[in-house]
Amino acid sequence: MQISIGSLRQQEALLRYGIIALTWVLGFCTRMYSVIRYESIIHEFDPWFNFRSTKLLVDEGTYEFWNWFDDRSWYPLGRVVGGTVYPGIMYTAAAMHSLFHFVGFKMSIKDVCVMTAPIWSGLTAVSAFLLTSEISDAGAGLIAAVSIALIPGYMQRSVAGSYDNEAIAITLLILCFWVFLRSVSTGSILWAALASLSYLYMVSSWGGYIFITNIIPIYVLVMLLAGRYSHRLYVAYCGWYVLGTVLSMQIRFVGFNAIQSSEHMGAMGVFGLLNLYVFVRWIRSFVSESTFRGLSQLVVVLAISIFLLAGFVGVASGFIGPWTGRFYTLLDPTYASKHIPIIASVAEHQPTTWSSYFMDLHLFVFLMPVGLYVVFNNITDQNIFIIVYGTAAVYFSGVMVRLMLVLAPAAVILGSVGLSDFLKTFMAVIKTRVIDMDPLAAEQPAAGSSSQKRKGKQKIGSASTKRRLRKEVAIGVIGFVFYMLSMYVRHSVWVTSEAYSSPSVVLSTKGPDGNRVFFDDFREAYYWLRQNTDEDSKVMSWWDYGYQLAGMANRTTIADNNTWNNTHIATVGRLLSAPEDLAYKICKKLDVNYVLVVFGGLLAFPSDDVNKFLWPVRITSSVDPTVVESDYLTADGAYSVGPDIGPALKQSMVYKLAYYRFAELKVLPGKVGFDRARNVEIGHPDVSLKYFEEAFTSENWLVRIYKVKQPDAYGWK
Amino acid sequence: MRSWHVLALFALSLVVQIDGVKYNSFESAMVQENKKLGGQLMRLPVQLFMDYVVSGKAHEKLNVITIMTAVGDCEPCRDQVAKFENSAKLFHRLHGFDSGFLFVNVEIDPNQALDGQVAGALGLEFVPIVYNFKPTRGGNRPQIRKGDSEMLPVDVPPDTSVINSYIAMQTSRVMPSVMNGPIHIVPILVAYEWTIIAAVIAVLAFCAKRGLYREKNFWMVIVFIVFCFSISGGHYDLIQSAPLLVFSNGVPLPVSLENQRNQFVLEGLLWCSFVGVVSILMLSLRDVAVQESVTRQHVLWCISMVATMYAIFGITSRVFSVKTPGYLKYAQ
Repeated sequence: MQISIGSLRQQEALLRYGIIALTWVLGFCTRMYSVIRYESIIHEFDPWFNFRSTKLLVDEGTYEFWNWFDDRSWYPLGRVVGGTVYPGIMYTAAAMHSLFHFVGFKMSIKDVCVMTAPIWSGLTAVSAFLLTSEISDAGAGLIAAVSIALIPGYMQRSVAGSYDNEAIAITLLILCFWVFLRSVSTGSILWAALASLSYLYMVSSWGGYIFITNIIPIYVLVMLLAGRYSHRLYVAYCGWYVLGTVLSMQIRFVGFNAIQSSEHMGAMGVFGLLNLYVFVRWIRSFVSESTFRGLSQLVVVLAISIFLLAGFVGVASGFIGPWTGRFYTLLDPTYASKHIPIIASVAEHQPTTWSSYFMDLHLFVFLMPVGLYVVFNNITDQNIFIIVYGTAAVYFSGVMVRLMLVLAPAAVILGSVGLSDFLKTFMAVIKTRVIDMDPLAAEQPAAGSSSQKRKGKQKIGSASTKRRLRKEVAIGVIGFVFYMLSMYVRHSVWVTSEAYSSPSVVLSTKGPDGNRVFFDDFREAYYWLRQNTDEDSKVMSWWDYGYQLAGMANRTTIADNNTWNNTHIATVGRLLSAPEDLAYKICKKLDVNYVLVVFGGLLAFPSDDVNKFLWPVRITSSVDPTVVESDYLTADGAYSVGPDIGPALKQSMVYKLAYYRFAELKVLPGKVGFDRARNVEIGHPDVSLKYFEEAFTSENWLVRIYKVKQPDAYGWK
Repeated sequence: MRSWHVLALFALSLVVQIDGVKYNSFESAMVQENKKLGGQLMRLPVQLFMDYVVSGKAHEKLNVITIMTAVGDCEPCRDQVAKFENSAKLFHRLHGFDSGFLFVNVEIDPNQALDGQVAGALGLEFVPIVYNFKPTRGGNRPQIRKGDSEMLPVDVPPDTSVINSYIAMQTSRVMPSVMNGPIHIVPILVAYEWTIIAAVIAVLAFCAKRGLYREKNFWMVIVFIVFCFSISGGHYDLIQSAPLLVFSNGVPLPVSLENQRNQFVLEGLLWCSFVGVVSILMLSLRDVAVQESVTRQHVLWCISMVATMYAIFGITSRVFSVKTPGYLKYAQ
């Protein structure tokens, strides 16, 4: 029996889908290191809030979720969660949960949340394949699919347990760009409508949607300036903008910001400009050249005047909102460090060092310029888009390390285009040789005269010499490229397993025998709070731990990672930086029952409250000018907890709560109160407390909880 | 764009870079006195020094750099004071009188009780010695404490370069850098951010005039510049290590001090060069493959590119004592 294996095209399609399917598996498995090394657990900080919200959505339903007023956060203010959240990831996980249950997988909502990012990494690979195929060809698309599944810049936010908005947003970002480019290629309203839908999903999922809101108009502007206007572009942009804006306004957190905030004005301006451009072109077809010139000047002056007037009136009346601090920081990288300490204090808002590019992009830093060169040599509508996207992404990634996430897809796509072109060039060299070595071609000159035979032999002889050399070079180059690709895979897997799989909630290190040692102090402390305190207790901590406290301890917090109220955070900062009597007054005003501090002096954990302390001081001083940073520094202007400690720091609650009874520990022989995180013997080991009492200290002293004393009827005793 | 537009932009950029210093009344009087003296060293009596400098009144905003000498026949004191005075004059000529620094001389007589009190407060063991009384920023420090003052390096004479370097470090506007060698481009770029921006605008205007915007290669160069700036950590350098280039005898001088952040600047440059060289190498190979034959020149060129890249890393790590991190070694 003869088995038909189909045409070459079918085989190619089979191979293509097979590679994408395997890529999905590869991406999923690599992201499982966090579960294998630790356990199935929600990571870090924001994911705890997302998990808590998703659980409420699944348990209580969508109406309860939308109307949810969380009185357990930002006490006593509370938070209107339904109106201040990007609900995309919650609905995605809830839908996946329902789907799994429908097909018989009885997964808990926690496990679904943990697995969301790895599952979606496969969809990201598919999206990258589609977008790269649209820009270049399917070969480059396959390279992009495999590469994005492994690139550390994306992996860091998509390992199992990393249940944050970015887990799905990167997929949607690429998908939105692909669908938009499809609409530009086809001029189809259907594709433009699909672009709007994918934009809606993106808006519902991540605040980074603003990147799309601005990149697409910039692309359209570049197309106009480059003289590449087409009706396809008009249909695509206008369709996307009008539908997308109306749809995005349905997300409560965005609402009228879509037409009022400064971040969205660029898109609106380009919409107006594009229509003006089309209008002028239309007029041109009716009038003579001289009339057109006069008219066009009039129209331009009128349009600019109306635009400026509308902008002035909008800003002056408050109709157009100001740019957000993060947006300002993107335009002026020094802005946050000068004016907004709350933004500057966040680790992921710091500018990027060169080493991060190597860690997060590895081979694709080298391949990205090659891809840029290739697309510049073959300018198309699609290539212009990837140039605009890549340039903006690489610039913004330098401003904020967090935006490495946005750069990763651009680097992969451009790198894949470059690599594909590079490999195709050298593969063509090898293929050419095979065709030239055809015996028929070699025999052809034998039919001619003797002189022709001689010429033919000489030609073949010289050509074969050249071909042999070229083949060797080509094979060598291709071999080297594959070696580097294998190094890329090795690097990515290593970075994922060692650096990006830590959940932050559980710490680990390698012991002298090479075995992993775990420190579970955070959960120990949160569970202590959950089981040993009243259900309506209020726990004060620096805002970093607010989401974890609410998620794991289920207790009311004063501030959390939402950081929506700077004054409230500054109040918490004032409490931490104040002397005990003032701190007590603040505690009483805020009904605080417990104060939690994170202390890494015993465990040599550097990200503790003592090391972070200058940020609370700076944030507080931006609200309360009586708090001066230099008072917390040594006379030399340094930050130290040693003998030369600043006078205000010595009196501050952070110092007292962190080092209370610390001198009792024998950390190093002959040293009293030796802080391993800062490698210093603390200057004032005799810490006493009047209004606070130690309630709980975790096994490795990483988390310390203090109870605020209540006065009896006769005052303090 | 006309030439005066460009000049106006430069002027504006320079104005933006000037930081004002607001003094208290006593500090203002000291600065005015210094102006009258034309930059000559102010010689403060010990009583005045005690009342105003040690107490902190004279240096809420000012850095009072003081050379302590002994009365009588002190040969080294005379030598050092002369050098110090020259440095002070040169410094004021370069930076003006409102730069936030005041240079004074105090002569100590060990036989006087008040002088002994000052010497005790400062922990003075020998003269000549140079102290900087750092700004108290309005803080109330009635008694002098260790750390209010700072001793400048004593193993080198207090010439302009040392003082300039020190001042630059104190104002935190200079990059204490491992690049205390012939590479001055990065501190210049960072120190004159606004001037550079103005220059870029001028260049863009020039390009518009020449019609370069219609060339795709022009845009390719722009994109590559943005790429190189970002991947070399340019933003990080601007924000975390923003330096002020100081001039010593007209020569730009960054300060040499081991610092991890500044290490990043040089490493970023090297990394960017490395990426650039590898990319060029790949594109050259591609172009060679597209052509009909591999010439000897092409091969030699590629080898020379790799050798150059290796040499950059090798020489830099030897000459500038750059601590090459593990990843860079790996890349090398």
